[in-house]
Amino acid sequence: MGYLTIDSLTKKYGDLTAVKSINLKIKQGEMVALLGGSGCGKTTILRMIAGFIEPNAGTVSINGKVMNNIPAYKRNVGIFFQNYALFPHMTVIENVEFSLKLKKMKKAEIKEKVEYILGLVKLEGKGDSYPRQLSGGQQQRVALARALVMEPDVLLLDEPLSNLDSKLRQEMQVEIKRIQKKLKLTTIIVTHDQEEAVSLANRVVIMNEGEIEQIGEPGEVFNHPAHPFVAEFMGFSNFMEGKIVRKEGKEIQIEVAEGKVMNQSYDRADELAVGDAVVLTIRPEAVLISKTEEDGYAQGKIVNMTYKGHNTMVDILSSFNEKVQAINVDMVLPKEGESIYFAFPSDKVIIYKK
Amino acid sequence: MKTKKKILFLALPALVTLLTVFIIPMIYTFIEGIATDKLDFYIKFCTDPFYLSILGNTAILSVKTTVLCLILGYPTAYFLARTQSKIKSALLIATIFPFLISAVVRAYGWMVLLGSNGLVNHFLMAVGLVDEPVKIMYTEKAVMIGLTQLLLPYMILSIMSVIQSIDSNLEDAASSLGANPLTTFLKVIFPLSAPGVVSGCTLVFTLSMTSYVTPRLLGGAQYLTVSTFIYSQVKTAFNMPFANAISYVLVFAILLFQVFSNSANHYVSKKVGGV
Repeated sequence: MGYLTIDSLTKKYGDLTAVKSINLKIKQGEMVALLGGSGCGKTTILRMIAGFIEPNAGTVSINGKVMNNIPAYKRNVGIFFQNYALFPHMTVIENVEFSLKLKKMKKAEIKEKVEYILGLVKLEGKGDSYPRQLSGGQQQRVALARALVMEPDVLLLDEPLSNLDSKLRQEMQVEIKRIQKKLKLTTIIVTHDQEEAVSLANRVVIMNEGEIEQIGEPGEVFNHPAHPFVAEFMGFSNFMEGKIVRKEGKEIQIEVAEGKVMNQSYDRADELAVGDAVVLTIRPEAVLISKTEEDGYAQGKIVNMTYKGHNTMVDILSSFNEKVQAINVDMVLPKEGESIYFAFPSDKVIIYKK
Repeated sequence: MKTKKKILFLALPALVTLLTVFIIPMIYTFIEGIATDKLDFYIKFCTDPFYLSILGNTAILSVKTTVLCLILGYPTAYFLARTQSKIKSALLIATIFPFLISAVVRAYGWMVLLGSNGLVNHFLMAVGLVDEPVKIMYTEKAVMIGLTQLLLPYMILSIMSVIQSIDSNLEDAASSLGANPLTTFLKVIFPLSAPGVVSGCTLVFTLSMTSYVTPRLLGGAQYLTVSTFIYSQVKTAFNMPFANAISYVLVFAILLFQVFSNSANHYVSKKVGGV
């Protein structure tokens, strides 16, 4: 029994099923990331937990108590909105103390709590400013403080870092993690950024079209995605479809096109059999490239190179007419149009049965 | 600086038109009035309780109409701003539809309904609420009903446009922080919609202070407002100078109100951060 339990939760909008019978159990103090593209239902789940929308079926329970018929304002679920949703007519302090005043807390107690929380998000001295006078990062921390000060049973973060520049983003990632641990908050974070999900959460839930594709620890989902969809979401590319035509120990041969066969060694080759239709994938940064022919390398031609600052994306057309993407960090590369050799290391490829 | 001048240039046609056909004649008649009769007619108006009571009644009528429009218009405006209904645009058109019918026609419509032999009295007597017809026509009530119907769209549209610009996440945020719907309304929605309320009230109050057709037809000679009284001075008393003076009393009363509502508007806009 989880602290926050979602049981066959379903939400339909007309013919469209936004959330399809989702089950999820979250332990107290755990931080779980809901990861998925836009329209995958992750925000809908968040809004059902907060109580803003009613599920068509299924239940949300917090600490063993079914929440379905309890209105949002009685749930004690803190939510951080993607656009912050700060009250523009209230100062930082008024925004933060909003929930405490409603609880009819004593003035001195409110003051103490607000000061503590503003210190925690490093906003001392900004209490009398209005949201419009603050920078995006500061507004975001006010929104976080406002959700934290009510000491919520569950904290929901909706794309908390999406509007920030990369430096502020990293700072806030550290901050959120630190505060979440310190206050031992049961937290759900919704994001479309796989790096954000794996760096913040204890567990990652990958969603697609209203369904859960995979649940696992960050390392697990990042390195061992369960389906090609999850793999693509986790940054895998070079998807190649084919059929296994020969297998000897770790060495397998995949026919990627009529008469075109690719040799590949694979650590988990025993899961596969000759005749299986498969999809092979590997991250571009795991592809080995070389200017000279080496053992186990295949030949190809550079068709395009994109310089990205700290690395270069190399698009290769292989001799069996497949497109291969590799990331090169510091090698001096041949020119576009010239030939190059590449290999997929046996421990870095994943082969899915279709 | 240069662009500012260019933008002013765009306002020039309207400015010239207003100046020549409206402002200059107004200043002329005002000065002409003072030059020939000094302040005599102003003093006459301001010292006679009867005349003052007409101004007072008109102001009270306008306040009542404004409050009634606000009470009826606010919930409608909120609904229209927030509804996800497919017929939202049809509802919006329904709101401004009355604009397509002249105030005269609508006043005659109310006469049919509100007269002592009208539908309302027939209904009241049929259900036994009253024994004899209630006098509604030619009273403040009739004028107030007519004006409210006439001016309600202005209130609804003013408030609606402001509520539409309020992020609906703010309501969810308030609710997640423990505010029940009433508290959310009082602490978040109403304060943020205040600029719309101020502009709606200003419009309705000004328009009902100066309206002529509705009070003329529904108030008749028994219930006078400033504008119908001016008309009677022109048409029945043939006292043009007095009518002129009362017109300026009304103009200055409204200017004074505009100054007040402007500062109110400024205050609330500043308070809510120019939303």
